[in-house]
Amino acid sequence: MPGMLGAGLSALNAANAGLITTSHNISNANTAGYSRQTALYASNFPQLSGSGFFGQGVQIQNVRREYDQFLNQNVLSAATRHQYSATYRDAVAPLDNLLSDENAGLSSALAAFFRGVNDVANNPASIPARQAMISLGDSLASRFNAMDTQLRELREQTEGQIASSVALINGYATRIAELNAQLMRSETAGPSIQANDLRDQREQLLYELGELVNVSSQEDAQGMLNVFVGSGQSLVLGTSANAFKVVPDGVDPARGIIALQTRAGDVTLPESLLNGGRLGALLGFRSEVLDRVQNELGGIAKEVSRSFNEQHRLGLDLQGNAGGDFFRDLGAVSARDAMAAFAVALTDPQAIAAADGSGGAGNNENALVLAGLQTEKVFGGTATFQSTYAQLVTFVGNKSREVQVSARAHESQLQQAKSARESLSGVNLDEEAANLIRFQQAYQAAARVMSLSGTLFDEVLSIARR
Amino acid sequence: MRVSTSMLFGMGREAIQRQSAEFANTQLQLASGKRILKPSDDPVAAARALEVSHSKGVNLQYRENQGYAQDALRRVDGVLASASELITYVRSRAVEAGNPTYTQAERTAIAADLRAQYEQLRGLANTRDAEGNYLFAGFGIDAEPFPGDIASDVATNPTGPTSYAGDGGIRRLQVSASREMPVGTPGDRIFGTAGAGVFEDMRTLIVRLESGTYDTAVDSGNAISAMDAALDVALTERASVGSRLVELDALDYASGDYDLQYAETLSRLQDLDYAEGISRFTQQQTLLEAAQQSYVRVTGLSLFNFLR
Repeated sequence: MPGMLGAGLSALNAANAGLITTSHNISNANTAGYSRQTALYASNFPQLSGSGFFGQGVQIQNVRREYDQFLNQNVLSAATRHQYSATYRDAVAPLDNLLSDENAGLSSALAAFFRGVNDVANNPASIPARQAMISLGDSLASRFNAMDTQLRELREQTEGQIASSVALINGYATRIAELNAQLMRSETAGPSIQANDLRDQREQLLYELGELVNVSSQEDAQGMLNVFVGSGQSLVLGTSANAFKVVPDGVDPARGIIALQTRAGDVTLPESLLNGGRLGALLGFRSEVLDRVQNELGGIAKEVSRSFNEQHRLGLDLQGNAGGDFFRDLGAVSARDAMAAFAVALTDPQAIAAADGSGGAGNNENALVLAGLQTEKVFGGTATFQSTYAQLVTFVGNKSREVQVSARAHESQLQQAKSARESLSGVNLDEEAANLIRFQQAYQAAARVMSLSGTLFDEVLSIARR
Repeated sequence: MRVSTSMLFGMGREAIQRQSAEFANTQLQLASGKRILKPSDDPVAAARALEVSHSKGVNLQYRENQGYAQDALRRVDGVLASASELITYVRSRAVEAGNPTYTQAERTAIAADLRAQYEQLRGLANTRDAEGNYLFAGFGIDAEPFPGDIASDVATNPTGPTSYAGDGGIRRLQVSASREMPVGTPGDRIFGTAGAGVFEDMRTLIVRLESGTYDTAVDSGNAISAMDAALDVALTERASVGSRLVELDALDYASGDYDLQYAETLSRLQDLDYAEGISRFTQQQTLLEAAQQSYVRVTGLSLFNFLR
């Protein structure tokens, strides 16, 4: 019975294929981006005889990966959103803490300085009180300087992260292009018989790319994955990849802006186009939060110096000389650099102009006005130093809260999208264990068919021997 | 729904992480007693807290200034009290000198006493505070407002005795948001300047007593009314100082009240409700333990356990 042996052999091969596929699934249960595979079977073309069609066993049609374009797309866009809000959240967090911190924020230093001014108003002739006011001015200055240092460090870190994100993006783009090339070589039978594992790898790279920046992708008829950023600028086109580049900003060379290197030259990408993923978050944090905080704190530093000096110059010092600048004049310094430049200009306690125009050691008229600046609405007549600072703290707090909330929401969206994909593509070890048993039994049964066919053949041979 | 193995592990891990994060946050709240650990926990309340603690600080500054004002006014009040007593005593000596039976020797003795009183009054007018600053010198607190001595005032400079060397500056302190309180008194207001005031009147009396031509009716009469006028000046100033001290008491009471209110507002904005915090802590602990146990149970299940 050759038909029986052939059918048994095909069944043995089929069961073997099932076992290989199951083992492959088990081995890749923890591989990121892996889609479980299933061997597909079909019965062989039957043999026609006078009494009808006799089956010819089984054939393996294909090894299919359980994959759904739509589910994967959902995971990708959820990951882009989640990575954006999570990166933004982590970037704002240090500022959130810095501004409100009793020891690091501006509030306490500003209050302490004005206590010093009040002390001079209470004891205008006291050299220790005057010295204390200068020292408290120095500590206000060092608080401004320290905040500036921290903000600058934060800016440097952000620039560094932008650069490293760009490097990663380029790495992923290159590898996707390489995989495109590899797929073209591998899928010689055309896209209908897919190189499952290579495609999974490419999908995983696209996912990791999507965590960094918002991308869109399109698979062409040859199975090439083309990747676009921004408003359709191509990052990967078939087997070639373009690269992102960080170029120094014309106005502020320390600031990196993103450009895409193409054959036609560098194309600068506006930040509004890169509004997702890690890179989008870093760019957004830099322009929406960091710039504003640095400029507004600098503005406070400038205004403290300007308004205090202006009043101080109206007074007379202990020697009866006209008052000079108490703080260093920041009129010509930009808001960005004002905190670093903030310093006390006076060193001689006698030079504090506590008296008004009529002079005298006990004259505290000017010191009273100086102390009053603490509650004066010096900012356009609407806000004090303190309330301006409080507004800034609220802004950062609100922004931080906002991205925390969206990070949480995006995280659960990502979880849901991943669950949906996993429920189709993920490996369940229990299921694989069951399959293992199933294919093992199929293998045993096929082997039994073959051994029976051998026995039957022996029967025929034994007739001849008799 | 089909569940993949990595999803099973992943979801359990996520759950534990989320619970741990919340648990840790509650733990921090309990440890610090604060509901708001950073502005993003409640941006509105955090900003309000910043404003309130600023107002609290400013209010505290006013209280401190009130303390300075009180010290300064008390010192002035003390000097004025002594000066009033001294003037009253001089007046009684003037009455005594008006006794027509007194001999010149007795008048000279009174004059000698008055010379001492004159120097004592100068001492009072030149009173310094703890920092060594003159109390009655206006803004020129580093120079003696009433320099000189009795001998030269009476003998070498018969027309112009002790003159005021200070100025008319009145030191003010910010004792509340809307009140700058005067705490100094220029000395000329109380003790007069060259040619007028209590020093001049005492000098005239001493010169007359020692002249040998003392007119008991006219000279004593002049001296008595002069001392009455001087006493009037001192008492008026004292009354004014007294009313400012009363005002300070009221302000102190008010700022104490504000301080309490600010503290209450701050506490309401920032502080943790411990009953709520502890019950949340316990609840989160239970949830975390449940998440851990279910993770171990669920991930421990595998069909492979039965394949032997």
